[in-house]
Amino acid sequence: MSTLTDRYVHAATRFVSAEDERTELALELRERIADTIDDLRARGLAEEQAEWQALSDLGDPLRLAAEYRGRPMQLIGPRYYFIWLRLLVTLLAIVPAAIGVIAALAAAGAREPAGDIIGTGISAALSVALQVAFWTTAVFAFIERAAPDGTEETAWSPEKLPELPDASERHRRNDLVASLVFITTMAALLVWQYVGSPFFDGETRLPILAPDLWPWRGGALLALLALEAGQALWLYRRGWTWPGAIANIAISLAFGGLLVWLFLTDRLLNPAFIEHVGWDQSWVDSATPFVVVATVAIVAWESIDALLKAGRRGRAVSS
Amino acid sequence: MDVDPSPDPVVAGHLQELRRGTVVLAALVALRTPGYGYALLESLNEHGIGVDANTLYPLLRRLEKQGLLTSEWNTDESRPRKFYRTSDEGDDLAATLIADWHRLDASLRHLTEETP
Repeated sequence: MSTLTDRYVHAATRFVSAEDERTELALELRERIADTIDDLRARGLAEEQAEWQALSDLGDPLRLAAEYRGRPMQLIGPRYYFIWLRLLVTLLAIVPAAIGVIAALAAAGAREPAGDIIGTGISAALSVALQVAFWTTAVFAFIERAAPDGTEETAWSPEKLPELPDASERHRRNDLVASLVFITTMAALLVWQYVGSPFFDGETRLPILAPDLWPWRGGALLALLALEAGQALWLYRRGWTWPGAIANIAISLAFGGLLVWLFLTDRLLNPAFIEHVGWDQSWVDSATPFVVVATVAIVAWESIDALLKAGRRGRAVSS
Repeated sequence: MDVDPSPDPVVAGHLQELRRGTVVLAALVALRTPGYGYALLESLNEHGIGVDANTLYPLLRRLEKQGLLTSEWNTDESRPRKFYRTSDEGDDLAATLIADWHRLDASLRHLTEETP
């Protein structure tokens, strides 16, 4: 036997852990290679050429060994693919968002700046998502190899069918009306607290929010509310499309981010108003983490909801 | 080696599908007389059962694992060779497969006669 054949047999058998199986496999391969070489030489090939040709025809030794031993040549095969996929999607939809909110809550409790709180939440969510994806896949890859041959996929029954997406006209009109009422109320409150606040310091009207919000920051809040109203109309006309969902998330993030930033930098409430109603600044400070977390949670919930709705509609349309 | 080489990959794929089970049957029948891998490969191809070495060798191992073939190392000659022989179970399976083959043949003939 030449070194090339020896190397091939070694490459094909070195990962077979059971001694008996490895010896047997090596003997079988040597028999097959030698017989093939004999045949090729009988057809007129030189010794070296024949060996080269025989080994080329055998192909990748690891693949050959897997075929001989009936080992899976995929990470996760058809038996477990859909269980793996369902579990992974479910876990990714829930766990990273939950951990992200908890991490943001902890950061907010430690009085970190707004940017750091958001950054902590996002990076915690991302690293948890990676961990979830890796470990779920690793466990299923192991099961794929450990489960005996002929194990069937867990039984599926019709009761596992999802409900049809509710895309009825009435349902969407209700969503639109609710959104527009909410947005208009918010915008009205925003303007009213400035021009019509019921609080007075002597003759001076005291706005509840900081007066220097105007024109720019307050204007930005109003502009975002207007965008959200347009977005609600778009959703009513076109349903939950992916671009619609992305726009929805972008607007939510911008609105939430702006509010949190204003609140954390003490630019949101009017100090004169706080003083007038007799609040202590430390009360406002101690409420900060809860306001931040509530805002982050609402934005996260809205984003996930938008993605789920777009995903559901995408499947309903494509099916 | 193919009996009916076809340049069209779709046709080739369907032919391969149709012939896949016949290799098992042919091997079970041929190995009533003990034989080793390469000899079986050549004799099957001579008999017009087109089969590739990369299909046949793993198939023999699988049939042995299922108890349809038994094996024994022959060390009489200069090179040790693994000789396979069809077991009683393998014989029974071959009989079942042949019966089914004839039934399918008859069914297909009926079908083609009814739909000219």
